[in-house]
Amino acid sequence: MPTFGIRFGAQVLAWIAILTVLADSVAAANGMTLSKQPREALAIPRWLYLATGGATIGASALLASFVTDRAFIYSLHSRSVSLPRMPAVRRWIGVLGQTLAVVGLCLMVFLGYTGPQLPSASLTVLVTFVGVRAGLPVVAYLVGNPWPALNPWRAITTILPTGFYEYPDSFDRWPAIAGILTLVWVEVIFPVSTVPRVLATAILGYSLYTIAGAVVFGSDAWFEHADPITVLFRFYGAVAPIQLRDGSVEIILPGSDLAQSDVVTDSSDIAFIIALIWELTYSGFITTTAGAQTITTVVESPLSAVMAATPLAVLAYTTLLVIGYVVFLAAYWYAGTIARRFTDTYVTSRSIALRLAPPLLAIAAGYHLAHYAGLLVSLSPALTMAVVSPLSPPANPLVLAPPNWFTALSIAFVLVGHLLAIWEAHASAYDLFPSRLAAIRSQYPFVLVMIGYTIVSLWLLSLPGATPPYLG
Amino acid sequence: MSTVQSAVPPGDSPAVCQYCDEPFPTEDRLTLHKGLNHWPDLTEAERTDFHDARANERDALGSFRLRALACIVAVYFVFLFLYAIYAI
Repeated sequence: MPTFGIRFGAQVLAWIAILTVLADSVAAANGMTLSKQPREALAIPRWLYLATGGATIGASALLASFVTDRAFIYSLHSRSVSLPRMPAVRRWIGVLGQTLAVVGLCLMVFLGYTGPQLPSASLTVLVTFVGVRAGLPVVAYLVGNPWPALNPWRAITTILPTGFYEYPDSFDRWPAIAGILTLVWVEVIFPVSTVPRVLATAILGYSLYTIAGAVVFGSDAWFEHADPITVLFRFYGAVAPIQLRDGSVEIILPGSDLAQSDVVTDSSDIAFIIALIWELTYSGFITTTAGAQTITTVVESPLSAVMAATPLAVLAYTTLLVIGYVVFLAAYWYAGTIARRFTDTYVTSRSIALRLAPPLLAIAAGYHLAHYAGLLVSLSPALTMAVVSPLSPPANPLVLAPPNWFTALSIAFVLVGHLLAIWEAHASAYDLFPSRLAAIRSQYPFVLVMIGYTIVSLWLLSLPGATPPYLG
Repeated sequence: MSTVQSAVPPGDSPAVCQYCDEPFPTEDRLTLHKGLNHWPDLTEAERTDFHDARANERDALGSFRLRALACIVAVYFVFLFLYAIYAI
């Protein structure tokens, strides 16, 4: 088949080009660290480093458009291996996991108040930030969603009377979006990651909120729609190679579920996925010098005549969180409208946006890994020691310093996340449009949005770190 | 499972699929849609139409590929020169 030969040759050539660009950008990033120490200067101008990152995404979108064989795309996405069902084993893992999680939750709150008030020795802080914030999402998108087997609040609600009101359909997943943004806000504004007592109070507050919600609306409806942590793990879990389908465990190619139409079913799901991307960008931004400078500028502006410094800073952080989120969401939504115009189709822009939203989860996973891999590696010995001896943790735990190439690695994570997203968006578009040219055209605006997201996150990785000012 | 929603602008006369009532802006897309989604129900004439539409689409894709390749080559050389000039 000569056409196959030509196609294959073109793909090989194109891949060589893309890998060259990728290698360039990774090499450009060498010599930076994620820590808060001064970094070495870039060997290339920053604009060139950012443009290379953007071009990597654009070029890989063009490359993906070379794959036009529907049967090939379909066969890649339907490849799966079923594991034996073993319902008894799964039930016992669930019982064991949830029991441990409930005991762990109680211990975390107790030790938060009574244990050492030192973040690197506190079980509460280490389990919350190294375990649940950094570690479990990594497990969720690299292996499979572990949360249903752990969720301590769900385990507690099984012994309570639940379901006094029906969960209103019109709420969809909006409460989870409000919840996740609130959690990020609390993480930024309050010293939850440094003072175990404050964190224990926050955990207690969250437990009361989510258990009350489950009691009022019923456990199933609440944890499926409104509990931000459960929804977060469900979405991250959609990227994973291990999926639970109709009670059987299946192994698929990573990310290939993202081209399915049942991952995102409502506008609020899109909003939640964008919130995942935005919260990582936001917490990245405020811990850089540019972020610190922005806040300082606001606080030292004429507005300081009206308000004291700290409330003004809190207001500035909050405004930034909300406005940035709205901008990210609007950019994605607008891409859906443009895509409709480009493709000259009758499919509504909402349907297009819904179908092309799940691939964004790969981007969120890439950001998360870029953001937390260093923290996870450096603090995992401390976490292990705190878990092994929760009541008498070592006062001076071992903290590893990740090597320098870890920054290059985090740039690679950001890019790999985007590449996977590009590929899955390609597959989704093929599923949505009968005409392959229309499918290719529909992706242009989304690729532009992804290029924008990449440039922003690579820019953040290139900035020197700083402690967010005015926050205790 | 979310179903795909369509909206036809007033004044348009869409080509509607007789099997699932989905509207399409052009006959070509309708033919492709029928071939992809309703293959077992199609008549022999419709199947021939589908093959013709596929052939047209393949030609269009071929020319698109050439343009895409040109873009990739352009991006590659632009960056090659940018790095040659600015990277120290």
